[in-house]
Amino acid sequence: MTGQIEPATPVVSNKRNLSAIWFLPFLALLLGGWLLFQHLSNAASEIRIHFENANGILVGKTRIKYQGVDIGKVTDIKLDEDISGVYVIAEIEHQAAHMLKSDTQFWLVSAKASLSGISGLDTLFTGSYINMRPGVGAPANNFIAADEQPLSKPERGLTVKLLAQDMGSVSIGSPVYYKKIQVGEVYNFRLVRDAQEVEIQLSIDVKYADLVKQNSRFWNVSGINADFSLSGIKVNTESLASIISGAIAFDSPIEGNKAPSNFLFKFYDDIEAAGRGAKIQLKLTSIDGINVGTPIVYKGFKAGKITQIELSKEQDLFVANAVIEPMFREQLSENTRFWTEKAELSLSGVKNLSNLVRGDFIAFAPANGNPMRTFTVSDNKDVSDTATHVALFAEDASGVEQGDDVYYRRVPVGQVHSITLNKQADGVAISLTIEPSFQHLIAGNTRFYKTGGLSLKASLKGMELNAEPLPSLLKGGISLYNPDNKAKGKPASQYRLYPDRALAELGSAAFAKPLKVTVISNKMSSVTLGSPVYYRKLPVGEVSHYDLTPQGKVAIELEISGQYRHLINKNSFFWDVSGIDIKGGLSGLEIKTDSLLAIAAGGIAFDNKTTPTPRVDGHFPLYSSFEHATEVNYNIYLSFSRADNVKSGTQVRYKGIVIGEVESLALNERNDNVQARVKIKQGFAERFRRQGSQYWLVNAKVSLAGAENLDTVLAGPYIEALPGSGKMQTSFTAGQQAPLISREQKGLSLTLTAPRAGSLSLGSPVYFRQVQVGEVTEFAVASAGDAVEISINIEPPYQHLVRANTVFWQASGFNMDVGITGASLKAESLEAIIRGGISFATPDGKIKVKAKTGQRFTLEQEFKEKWLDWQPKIPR
Amino acid sequence: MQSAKDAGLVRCSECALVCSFQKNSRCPRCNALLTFRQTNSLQKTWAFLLTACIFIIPANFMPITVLISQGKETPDTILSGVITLVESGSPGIAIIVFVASIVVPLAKILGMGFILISLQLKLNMSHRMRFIMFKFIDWVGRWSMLDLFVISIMVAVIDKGQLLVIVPGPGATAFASVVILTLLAAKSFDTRLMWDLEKDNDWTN
Repeated sequence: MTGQIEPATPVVSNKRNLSAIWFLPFLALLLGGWLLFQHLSNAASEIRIHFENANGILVGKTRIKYQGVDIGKVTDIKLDEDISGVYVIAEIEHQAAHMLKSDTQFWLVSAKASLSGISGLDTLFTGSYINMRPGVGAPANNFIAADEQPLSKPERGLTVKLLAQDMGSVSIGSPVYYKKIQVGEVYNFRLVRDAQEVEIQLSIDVKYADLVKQNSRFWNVSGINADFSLSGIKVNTESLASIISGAIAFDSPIEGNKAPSNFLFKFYDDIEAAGRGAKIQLKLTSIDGINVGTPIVYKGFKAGKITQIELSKEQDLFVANAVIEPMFREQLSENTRFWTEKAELSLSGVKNLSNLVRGDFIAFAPANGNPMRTFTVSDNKDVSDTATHVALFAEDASGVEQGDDVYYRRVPVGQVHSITLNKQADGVAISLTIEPSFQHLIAGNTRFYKTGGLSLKASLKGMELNAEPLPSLLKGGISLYNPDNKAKGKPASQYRLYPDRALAELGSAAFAKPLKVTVISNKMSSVTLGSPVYYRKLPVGEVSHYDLTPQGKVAIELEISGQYRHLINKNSFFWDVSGIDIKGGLSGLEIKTDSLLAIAAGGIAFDNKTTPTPRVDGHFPLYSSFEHATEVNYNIYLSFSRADNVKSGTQVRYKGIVIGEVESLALNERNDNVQARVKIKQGFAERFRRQGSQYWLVNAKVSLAGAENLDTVLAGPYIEALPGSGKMQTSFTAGQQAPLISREQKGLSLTLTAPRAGSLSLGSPVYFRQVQVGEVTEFAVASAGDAVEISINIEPPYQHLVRANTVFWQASGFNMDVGITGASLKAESLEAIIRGGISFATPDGKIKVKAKTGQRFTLEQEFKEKWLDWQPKIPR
Repeated sequence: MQSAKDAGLVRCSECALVCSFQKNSRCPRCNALLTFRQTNSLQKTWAFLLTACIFIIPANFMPITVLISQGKETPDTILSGVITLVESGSPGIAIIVFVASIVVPLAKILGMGFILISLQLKLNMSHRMRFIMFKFIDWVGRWSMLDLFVISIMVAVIDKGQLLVIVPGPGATAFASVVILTLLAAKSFDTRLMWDLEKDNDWTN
């Protein structure tokens, strides 16, 4: 440290340094002071609440809440002076202290479950708490607890008063509904007018206050209003709570002024009582079935009800007070009629069945006129003067009763007014009344028919049930319609009443006299009296009588309905359609039946052909079946050497189409052949009953080379036919297998000569370059017996391949060369190995002329390799 | 016994170079201001101590934890927590908590205050005792954090949502302030001030 520099003398200040750290205690002081001030200024106010008991109140734990906010807690519990209750000492936080007024209320909130609800569930977890409702008045700190939540007199919202005879089931807290929405509640009640009436005070939520009009009506909706009727059970209640705690509902007419606060309303017992219907008086001679509450109905609409019934002694009748819905007020006039509707139960029908359950009612027909308020109730619905009367004539009145409805397109348009015998007593005169509004439906061409009951149409296809509307099913009735939907002509003085719609459609022909026809049968079929007679499956009559004729045959008398009598003429032929005709076989099942009714009751059908039907003893014959009736003898007779598996029903086919079937088989003892009678269908008879027609039996054939006609294994054999072109002929000899001529000889037929047939057989293939181009069609031993002549047929596309110099050889079996180099196996095809076959080849070089039909070739027995190398181009 | 101050030597507070002292001189090595003693050590210690004194009031009277069990809030101060522990039959833990949370902070404040007062008034007392007292205060101070650790662990572990939850109360903040402030007070106290006093007084008595 050499050359030390003498430092400059610094300025020395002796001022004592005050460390900046001192701000820390000041800050702390400030903070602490502020906290202290806060604490002091927020000092809790101590209050004392008197409770009957301190159940559920814990010192230090039980909170005091206002609107769910903690505002204090219980600090102490003391018994009161006379040991009848307890003082709960509590601290109320500073912010809430201003709410402690003399009217302030406290009550204990704990979990409570009752029928009308569960409340205070939260206290199950947090424990009970004391709730506070602030009040007004002087500041206070001594309070008496309320037993339960004090009812809030709403600070906002509308207060209205109801004047009631009694409280009914309404109590404090009962809800007030408007259209089933709770809009308020009952908050108080008191006795008024010398304790004769009750004034119920309601508070309506402010947002619903506008709904209360000065002409609103309030009624009691407590409990359940159940309506049991045929149409079901209807239970009407405002809400579950209203069942238990009672409730009040009110309406709010659109017109009307807003009700002011504390407006006084009358409280009605129920909605009916509250109804502002028109009050009327009804005079009744008898009140059988009529009592208070009996509805007054207009066309099924409940328009009012009886509210009171009194006996009027001076008039010896009953006077019933009733209310009618306001909408009918205008139509209560001198023309308005009232009558009682009672249930009627009889064997012929039921009327107003529903009344049995819901009781009788009073019906009324509103009408305009001079207003009137007192009416006489008649026992029956009077026919109004304006209604149109229509006279009907019917043979009998079955199914029609007085009071039955008259329908047009199933709309009731009137009623049966009366049913009487006509003067000659040969018919019934029925009088109908048609409502004025439907008068235009009645015209000259109008037709009336009975309705009612069920119509059941059943067939094998299904079942169709046609039912009239239930009331008409029970009551019957008359329907009317206008043909072509056009009312033509002036209304007639009298109309026919047709038994049903179908007859009505026929018009007057429906009443033409029936035609009796007798048919002669060898034996009685299963028809009985009343069995239907069909024309093209339409029932047109019935069997009316049957008897034995002197000739020992059965004569069946048919009654054809008058409107169908024209169908019977000399060309008519009749057959039996009774029962079911089932033909079954492996090839299928054929069921033939005319109708369900014909199965059950039997039946006879008829039709007309172009030629007159031969008569039997002067009557029509009854054929056993349609086929029989129309049968033309198209039979042929086939004789088989054997008829294995052929039976009645075996089909005769041509190119797969069934053209007939075997009817019967018989053994011809003369030549020991089986003779089959075959019925050929009409359309095929022309071609297949000619000379040259061929028939042979087709059976399943299974061999190593394949299976043929496998279908016949299951379905049985069939007979194949080929049409002929010669003269008409009915007897044929049937082959046991397909005749060779049947092969369609469209191609080139050639004859090959060979020393022996080898493994060749009918149908053996003919190959060209291993492609099958034809087949062996026939074998024959040459007449000299030195060779076999084999006929082959080459298919048309390959005809040109056979030339004059073509070489044919046996391709049957296989060639096997065994040498040092191994064995080689040569065969045309697997099929050729089994079935045998013929191959051919045309040499190279000059192409010779095409082979002609029937040209003869030699079938080489030895095969030369070089033949395979020939590859000439053979033109067509 | 002669001190370095007596010999006119000063140890740099930053780089511990021993230099000869001149007023307002700087360390030739690190250019730090050279002072014989920590500047305003007593003042700082006093300030920290007084602040701790203020904070120890809310720390003990405000709830240090709030137990919310099934919606019910149960605030606990340090003392009420100790009492609860005793009542629930854990006197051992109660003693630990009592010592760590009440005795130690109080003892630190009182002990530190006594040392400072004795230095200010230059009271004649055993220097050895005073030094042992300071060392003890310095050592025991950190253990006061125990209570805060317990609270933080409880807050983290006991959290069962609506059923049971513990949250720290305002007292915890105040208590943490007390602990930190006392630690700072001990830190800012320059022990050499005691040796200066020794020179003034008779070291041996």
